[in-house]
Amino acid sequence: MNERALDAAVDLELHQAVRAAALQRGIELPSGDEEDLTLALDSFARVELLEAVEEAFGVRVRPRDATAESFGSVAKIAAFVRAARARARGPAGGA
Amino acid sequence: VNVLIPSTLGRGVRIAGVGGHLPARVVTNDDVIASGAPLTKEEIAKLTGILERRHVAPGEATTDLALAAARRALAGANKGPGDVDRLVLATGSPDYLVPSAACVLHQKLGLSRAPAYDLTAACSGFVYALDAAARAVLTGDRCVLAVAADVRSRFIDPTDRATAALFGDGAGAAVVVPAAPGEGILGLCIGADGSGHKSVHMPAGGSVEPASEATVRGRRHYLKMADGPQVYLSAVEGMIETAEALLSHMGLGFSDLALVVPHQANKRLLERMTRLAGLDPARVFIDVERTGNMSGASSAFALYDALSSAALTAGDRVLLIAAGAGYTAGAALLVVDEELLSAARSATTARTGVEA
Repeated sequence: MNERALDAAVDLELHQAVRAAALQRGIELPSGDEEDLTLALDSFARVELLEAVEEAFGVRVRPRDATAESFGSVAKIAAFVRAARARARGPAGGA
Repeated sequence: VNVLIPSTLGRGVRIAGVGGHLPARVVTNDDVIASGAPLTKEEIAKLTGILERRHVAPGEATTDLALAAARRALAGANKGPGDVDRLVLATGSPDYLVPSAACVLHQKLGLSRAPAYDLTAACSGFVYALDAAARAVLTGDRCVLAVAADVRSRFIDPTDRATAALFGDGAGAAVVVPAAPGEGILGLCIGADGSGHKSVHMPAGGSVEPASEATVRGRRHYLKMADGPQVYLSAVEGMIETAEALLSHMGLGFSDLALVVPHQANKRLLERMTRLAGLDPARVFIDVERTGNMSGASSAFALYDALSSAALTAGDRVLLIAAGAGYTAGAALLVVDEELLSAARSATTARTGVEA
C-alpha cells in the first residue's frame, strides 16, 4: 500500500473513531464526513463533541483548533487529530 | 499581559473589606424554561451546572446592587463615604449609557468630591477594577472602592438557547487601602485580545448600530454568543494563561495556593479549567450553581463569598482569576490577613438578599 493510500485508510479509520466518540456522548453527527457541523449542531453539542474528541484521542483542543476551518466537519476533525498526534510524536516521527 | 507587583515598588496594597449582594428574586431553571428558553431542566443542569440565579425586580438597577455591596465592603473596612478617595465601578450593564453608573452610585453612597468612573472589561471587570484601585493607592490614594455590578438579565433574550439560562444579576465590592510591602495584594496581571471582540457582544445600542425600532425588532439589543465553543475554550485558556503568567512572574505555582476563586462562568467551564490547570477541585471555589454567571460581578461576589465562608486562615494565598468578552483576562494574587477575614465574615446577609 503506498503512503497516500495508507493516509486515506488512516483517515477513514479516524472518521469512524470520531463518529464513535460522538455517539458515546449521544451526539448525532450528519452522515457526510464533509458536512458542516456548525449548521448541524448547536454550540452546546459542539462543546460536547470537542471534549469527546479530547477524551477519545488524548489531545487538547485550543481555541485556534476549534474554528469552522479546523473543526467544522468530521473530516476536518480527523485531520486535526492526525496532526495533533503527529505533533505529540515529535519531529522525528516514530511509531 | 501587564503585571503589577506592588512590593517591587517598595509599597503594599491590601483589601480591607469586601461585600457582596444578590437581588432577592430567585429564578429557577423551571422559571427560565417557563420564560421561553428552548432547553430542558436536564440540559441546563448538564451544560451549565446552574440550578438557580437571581434577577432584579422591576425598578431595580445595577447601582442598587452595587450600593448594597459597597456599603458592606465599607462597613467591613471601618470606612465611611467621606474616606473614599476614588470609586471604580466595573459594569457592562450601566444604569444609563450616559452618565457613568459610577456617578449614580457616587450620589447613592453620598461620596464627597471623589472621582468616580466606570470601567468595562466584561467578566474580567472586577480584576481590572482591582488593578485600577491598586495603582491609585500606589500613587497616593488612601482608600479606593472597587465595585463590580451587573444586571445581565435585562439584556438576555429569554428564548436564546445559548444564553437564556446562563446569567444572573449581582454585585461585589472591595475597599483597597495602603499596606506594608508583601501584604494583601501580592500581584495583579491583566490583558486583552481584541480579536475576540465579537465573540460575546451586544450588536445594537452603541454608535455602530444605535437603538431603533428595527434593532429592537431584530432582537439586536440582546447579548449574542455566536460561537459558544470558541468562547468556552478561550475563557478557559485565558484564565489559565493569565494565572500562570502572574504566578511564574512571582516564582510560584498553583500548588502554593490555598484557594482559587475563578470568575463563575458556568460549572462545566470551571471543571475544564480545574482539570487542565491540574488544580485540586477542593481548592477551587464554585458558587455558580446558585448565582449563575454574573459577568464582572461574579468574581467580586465569589471573593466575598469565599472569604466569608471558605475555610481560610491568615497567611493563605488566594488567586482570583477571570476571563471574558473582548477578550479580556485578569488574575490577582492575595495573601489574606485576619482583619480581612473578620471583615468578610461580619457581613453574611448577602445570601438571603436581605439588606443588612
